[in-house]
Amino acid sequence: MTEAELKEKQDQLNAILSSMAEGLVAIDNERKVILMNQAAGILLRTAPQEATGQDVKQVLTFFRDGVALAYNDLPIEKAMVERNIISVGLTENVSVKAKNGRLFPVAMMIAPLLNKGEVSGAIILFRDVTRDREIDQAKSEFVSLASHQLKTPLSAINWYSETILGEEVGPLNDKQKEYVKNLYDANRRMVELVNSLLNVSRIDLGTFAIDPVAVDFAKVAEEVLTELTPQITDKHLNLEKAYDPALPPIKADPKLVRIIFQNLLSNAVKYTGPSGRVALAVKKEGQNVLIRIVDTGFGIPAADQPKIFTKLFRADNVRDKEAEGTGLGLYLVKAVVEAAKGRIWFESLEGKGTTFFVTLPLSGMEKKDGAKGLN
Amino acid sequence: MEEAKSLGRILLAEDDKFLSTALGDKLTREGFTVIKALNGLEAAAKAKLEKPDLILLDLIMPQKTGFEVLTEIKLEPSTKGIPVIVLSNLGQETDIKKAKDLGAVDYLVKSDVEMKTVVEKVKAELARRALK
Repeated sequence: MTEAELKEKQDQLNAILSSMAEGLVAIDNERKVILMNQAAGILLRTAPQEATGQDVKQVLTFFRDGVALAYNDLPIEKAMVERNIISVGLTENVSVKAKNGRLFPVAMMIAPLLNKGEVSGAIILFRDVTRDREIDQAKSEFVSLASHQLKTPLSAINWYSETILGEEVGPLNDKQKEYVKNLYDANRRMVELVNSLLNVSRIDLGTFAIDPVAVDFAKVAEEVLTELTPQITDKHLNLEKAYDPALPPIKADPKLVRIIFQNLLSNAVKYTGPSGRVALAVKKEGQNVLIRIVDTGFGIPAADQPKIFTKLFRADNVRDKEAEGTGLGLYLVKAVVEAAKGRIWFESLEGKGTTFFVTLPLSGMEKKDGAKGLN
Repeated sequence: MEEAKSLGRILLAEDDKFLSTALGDKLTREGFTVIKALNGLEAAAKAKLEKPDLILLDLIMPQKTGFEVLTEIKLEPSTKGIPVIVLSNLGQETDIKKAKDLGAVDYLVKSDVEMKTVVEKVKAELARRALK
């Protein structure tokens, strides 16, 4: 390549970098800035030439929920050590402070800079997500308003069908009773769906609050099982329960613990045929509490297993059998468990049954302020 | 036929006519005397004028919110002793806490509660007051 050709190549690369809409900062192994593009300069109110050679800590200061992050907590180190691309999304509430003091929310990707297979630094690609935040806010407000508006007519259907079903305004024949009962039940499902949608929107936005108090897990499980008694009795299910007496109360948000038990236990009951078995165990295991829910139900087809925690997904075999179900339950449970720094997994054989496992740290959940709690 | 004695006078502050009819009729069937208010302004005025035995209070209402009505009732010496049960479709902890801090004795979420339960709560609260 001639010198002129090299120069042209160089100019072309510079043009690409300076025309990018995203901010780009590249650092070397000493964590010194080797390159900053124009967009990064504008976002950070720093001249790219000035930043070059400076320690990255001087150039980029990160905040989460308004609190400055220690450099070691940043994914930059992680990306370099693990040789992995790390993405920090909109919901992680990370902000960057510009030189003029303006704090703006960012989404970013951090990639190790690989040169002949060796890590020689990192590339930080970021953008200002102020506008995305505003859109999310508007979306959240809309969902919350729409759900609230839906609840008023749903309450009316609920109350009028309760009155008719209770024969408070005159006797019903058996068919009428059955039909009004169907109306009443369908309406209850609609209320639950609206509540689930509200919860999902809060999870998607990362705006849900965690408010921990000392929670007796066995008590929460028992409350949920009491609610499920009619279905358990109807199906003649054999219910087994084992609560570890050594399990202390755990600092957790009771609503979140309830979401876990409610969804997993009602799934086990719903997706197990007549005279089947459902077994619940809650026990202390090392530094965790382990919740295990076994059923001898329909099981999850192998092909559907990887998608089972996906929002709105329902396995093929149960869609035919059970009309009820929204595909939101397991998605919610997984989000809740992960927000509580726990783990969820399962073992399942189609036609034999499913076992769900959840572990949560005994140290409990950390308080998280958010606009909304889950219900 | 001699008219049965009323179990108590309930002010039902609810702006949705369907809900107001359903619950109003239910309370009447159960033996209560029902006074209805269809907005917040009316609710605050009728609380002062009628001095009911108990108030069932919606939160999102035109002209004055339930929170405003509750604040007013609890500030006014002649009404501050009237028990208030909030009956709303707002179900957030922050709403519940706010209502209780303002002096509501109970908080029920309309879409999650049967009228039967509302009646039980009203009866329990009135019985508790009668004992005092």
